[in-house]
Amino acid sequence: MIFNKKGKLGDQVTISIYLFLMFVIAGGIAIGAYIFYGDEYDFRPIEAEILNYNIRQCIFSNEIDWNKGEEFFSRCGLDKETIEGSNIIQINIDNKEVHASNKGKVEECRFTGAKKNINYPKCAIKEFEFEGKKYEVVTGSFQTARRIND
Amino acid sequence: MNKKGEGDFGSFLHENVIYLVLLAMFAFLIFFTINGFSNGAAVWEDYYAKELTKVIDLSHPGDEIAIDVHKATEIAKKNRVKSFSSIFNFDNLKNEVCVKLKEGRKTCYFFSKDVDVVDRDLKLGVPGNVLNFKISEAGK
Repeated sequence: MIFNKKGKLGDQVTISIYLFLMFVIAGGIAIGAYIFYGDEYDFRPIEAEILNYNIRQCIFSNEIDWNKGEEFFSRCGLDKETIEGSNIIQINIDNKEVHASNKGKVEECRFTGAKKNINYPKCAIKEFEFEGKKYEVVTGSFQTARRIND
Repeated sequence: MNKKGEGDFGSFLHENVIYLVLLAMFAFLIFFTINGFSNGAAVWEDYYAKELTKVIDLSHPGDEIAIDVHKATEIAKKNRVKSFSSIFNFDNLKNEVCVKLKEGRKTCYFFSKDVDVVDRDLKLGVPGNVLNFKISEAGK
């Protein structure tokens, strides 16, 4: 006959629950820390704003022949290869496109839903008037940091 | 004498010693895990590579730049990076900034401005550690 079975099992059950709770809490903290620190610092919105600023300053201080595609990069001091590999540029004057880099991705900058989706490029769209013309400068970045084995 | 209280506490400790030991181990483990993440080389490599990119993209030829990189040098030292001069690298051909805070791995980011980073110099103890460099016209 086994008497007081519930009482005898007590210690074992308590420590099991204790260990289980610790495991759950530790797992939660580890996952939380990984999510918080694991995501890279999203620099793309800042990069897009800086590129937009640099292009606007360039337009204000240089006369650019938009018919010569290469001239835009040299006049504005931008590296064509880097821009084509990781950035988006579209410049419209009076609603007419005069320059585009990574044209296929420009539309992604205009999606309303893309603003909260980290998988879309981060963009900056600025409009201004200069010398009687209406300019629209769209810039974006889809660059991510590269971890390279050295 | 009120020995009853002392005895109760003693027996409480005795009965729960395993729980207290496990709790202490748990607290240490969590502390070191989170501390490891926050001092992680990957997080700071990413941060410094992007901040340096920001500085370069906003610079103009002729600018002289000084940046406090004390935290980076601390992490690199902790991770036994052989030479401080290998922490920050600027590749003017590729327009790339690379930061290495752990041996065998580095984090790189491209800057869009067509300039060269020259005269890189890491000064130690002024009072912190400061990275100096100059921006010049691209000479590709």
